Order: sequence, then C-alpha cells, then structure tokens
Amino acid sequence: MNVENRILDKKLDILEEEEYGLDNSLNSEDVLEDISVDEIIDDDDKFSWKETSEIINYKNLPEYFHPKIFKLNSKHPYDYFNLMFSDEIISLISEQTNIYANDFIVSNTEYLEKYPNSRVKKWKNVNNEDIKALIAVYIIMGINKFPDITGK
Amino acid sequence: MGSDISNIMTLNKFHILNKFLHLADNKLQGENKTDKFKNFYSILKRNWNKVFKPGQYLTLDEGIAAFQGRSEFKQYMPAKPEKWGLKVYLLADSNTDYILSAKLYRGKSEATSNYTVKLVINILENFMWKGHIVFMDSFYCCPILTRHLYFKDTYVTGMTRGHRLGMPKEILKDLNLEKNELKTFSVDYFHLDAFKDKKKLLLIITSAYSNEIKTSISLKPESLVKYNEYMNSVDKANQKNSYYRFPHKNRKWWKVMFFELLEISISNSYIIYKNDGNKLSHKEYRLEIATSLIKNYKTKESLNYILLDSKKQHYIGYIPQKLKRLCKYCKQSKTIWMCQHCTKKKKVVLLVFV
Repeated sequence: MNVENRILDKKLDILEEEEYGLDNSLNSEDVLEDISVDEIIDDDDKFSWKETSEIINYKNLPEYFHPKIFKLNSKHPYDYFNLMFSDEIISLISEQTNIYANDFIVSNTEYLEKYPNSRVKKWKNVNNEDIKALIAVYIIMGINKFPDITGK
Repeated sequence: MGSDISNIMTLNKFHILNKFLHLADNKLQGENKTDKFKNFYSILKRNWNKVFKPGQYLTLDEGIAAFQGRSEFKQYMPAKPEKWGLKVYLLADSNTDYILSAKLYRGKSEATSNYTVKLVINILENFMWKGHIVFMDSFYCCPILTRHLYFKDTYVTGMTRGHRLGMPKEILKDLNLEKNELKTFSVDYFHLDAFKDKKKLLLIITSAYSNEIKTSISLKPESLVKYNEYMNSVDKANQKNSYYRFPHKNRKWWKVMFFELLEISISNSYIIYKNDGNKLSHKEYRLEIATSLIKNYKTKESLNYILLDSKKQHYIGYIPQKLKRLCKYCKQSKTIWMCQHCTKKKKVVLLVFV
C-alpha cells in the first residue's frame, strides 16, 4: 500500500506542474470584499448597442478542448476515493477531533459530575482508522434505506 | 451489508465519534465563521483539481444542502422541495458533471452592491486566461461581467434580465417580437440575442454561434440550444449526490457542509473511476469503498463478542437469493430461513415456522 502511494504521489506531481498553479491560489481566503469592482463599473456608459444581422467574428476565441482526466489504472474503488479523501485529510480530522473532545471534557466537568453514566466519560483518543470506520458507517447508512414515518 | 453496521462499531462508539467529529480548532478561530471547515476544504479542493483539468465548457449554478438548524447562513426558498437549507454555489465541468469548486453563501451581510459580479470573478479566479466558455443563468450574467471576463480570455453564454447595468433599456422597451423571431444586438465585445417562443428571452453571448433558427423539436437559435444542453450539469451533479446521501438531520451547519463535500468527493472520484473503464455501479462502488475503509479497523469490542456468542446461539436470516432448502429437523418441507453464522462453518441449520 505504501509503495503504491509513493508512485501515485509522483504521478500526481507531474500532472500538477503541467498547468494550473493551484497550490498557492486555492488556499487564499475567499473574501469578496477584497475584489474592487469600481473600475469595471465606471465605464458602463460606453456600451453602444446596435442591431445587427451578421455574426461577429471572434478572432481570439480558442479552439475547443476536452477535459483532461487523470488515469490511475486501478480496479479498486478505494484508490480513487483516496485521491480525494487523502490520508492528509483523515489525519486532519482525527487530530482536530481529539483536540475538541479533550477541550470539551475539560470545560464541562460539572456536567459530567451530574451525569456520571454519560458516554463522554468513555472517550478514548481516536486514530485514523477510527475516522475511516466512521466515514464507512456514514456511507453505508446512505445506501441502506429503511422506511420511516413519512413514508418516503 | 446493512446488518453488518453493528459489526463495525457499537452504537455508543458511533454516537460518541459523531458527537466529537471536528474539522478545525475552536481556539484558533477568527471572526470568520467559515474557518470551521476552511483548512479541510482547501485541501479537498486542491485534491479535486489535481486530477482533473476541465474542458472548455464550464457551468456555474447553485445548489441547496438541506438544513433546519439555527444559523445566519440558512436560506428559505419556498419554490424548492427542500425549503430550508444552505445555499452553495457550484462550478462544474459541463461535459462530465465533475464539480471543480464550491462556495457557501454567507447570508445578507455578504450581499453588498454588485454582489454577483464579485462572486463570479471570485469563483472563476483560478480558471481565467484559459479560454473557457462559462454557462450562467440570469442571476449572474450581465454586460459588465461579460466585458470584464472577455479581457481575461474567458467567454460567456448566459441568460440575462432587461434591467441589468449596461443593458440597452430603451431598445428593449420598444422591442416587439413575434413568435420564433430572433433579433441580435451587438457591442464591440459581445452580442445579445433576443428571442421569443412563449416568453421573451435574452441571451448574452461571446462566442460564434450561427444566426439561423434550427429545428430540433421546436424552433430555437443555436445559442439557446447550447445553453439548454450545458446549463443543467450542476443540477445533474446534485441529483447524483442525492441518491445515497447520509440520511440524518444535523443541527450544526458546518456538519451539513461536511456531508455535502463528502458526497461531492465521492461522486467526483466515481467519474474518474468510470473514465478508466471500470464497470461497477454507483451503489456497488460506495459499498466497495466502505468495505476497504474498515479493512484495518480493529473491531475488538464488537466483532469478537458476536463471534464468541455465536457458538452458543443461532442468528436467523434469509438463505442467499432466497433459494429453498430442506429443513434439517423435519426433513420434509422446504424453507428460506437459516442461521447466518452456521453457514461459514458449513454446518447448515434450517428452521421452519409451522
């Protein structure tokens, strides 16, 4: 599994270099206030509409191109899922889950004294495999549909 | 597989994991509420775009993630089947329905003047200068935006409304169209198609389509045919996501976003899986993912307990594919019931209800 992952990483790096310098730009804050539209909007008087019957020649228009899709050449669905939900993401979740749970236990001591049989008392720190199993349960619960009171 | 959920983890363990699932440290949060899933999303979005480079046609539209808890981001849309929810702007590749980016609508405070222009520029930030043609509906598309995108080598085909900034309002006032009549107006950089079938439609276009009115089912100009063909790819992607969605309600808005992003990732990965020539259906694909996710998971507490217990006790279940077999005890009548654990050791026990 590890060896395969390394090969995969190399392949991915190649694809990344080709185009789309995504690494820096996608991490930037998506705050709309930074965009200034004033320049764009100031010249709105300049539109001079005319009725035509000819087709306008768009000389700059690029030729049609197809999507480029990465070929993994694998038969195991999990390999494809791992492209999206990589180990990086799963370790992020397990790390943050542990932090939140420990904070919760420290800050809610009164609550836990009041309810000594609470589930929270059984908390043990999780690892990546626990999070993977949780996601598996989420997926299976989506597939397996049981009738409910609304009849849907 | 359904009965096997109890074999993966106990109910207590599921509840406690589900309760504490978290994506960001609360102590490090700033004023921005979207910090709750910001790091998680930026890694995910990078992964989506690593393995897929979109074709020329892109579609921009919105989707709704159903949500009924309390949040300032919650929207009410009476016309939709899911009336309450989070509004998410989605950019998709039109040919494959692969989703390239998602953006949460953060309520009224975000919607200042010229909101949609800012929004589209922000969403398309990483897709400028590549010669894409973007399909949009009348919520986004207007002449100012079209001109701005034109100078960044990005082109537009979109429905628009008469009162938008930069539209020829005086011309449109006097415009009387007969049925199936097409009139085009042009500016230096793009043109406007006005067409009437039952309603007057206005389309802004920056790409060369022919002026002829084509006959497919009904009479339409080519621009409208293209618009109808490619505009629905976000809706199709949303439809695919809705089939096997985790069915539970949630009170926390960022968990709803987490499930939304999980769904998008799975269906995105399924598109790449299909492109390699594999043939599993969507449902089987999800099952395979789930089974390999729990491969290394040690189910000490739950699984071993059941296996030990099964030596003393039998568990009733159907025979696979409901094939009938002889009852072990009476040896006369046939039955579809048997013990599920006994089959693994090839000691078949069948039961009959008399």
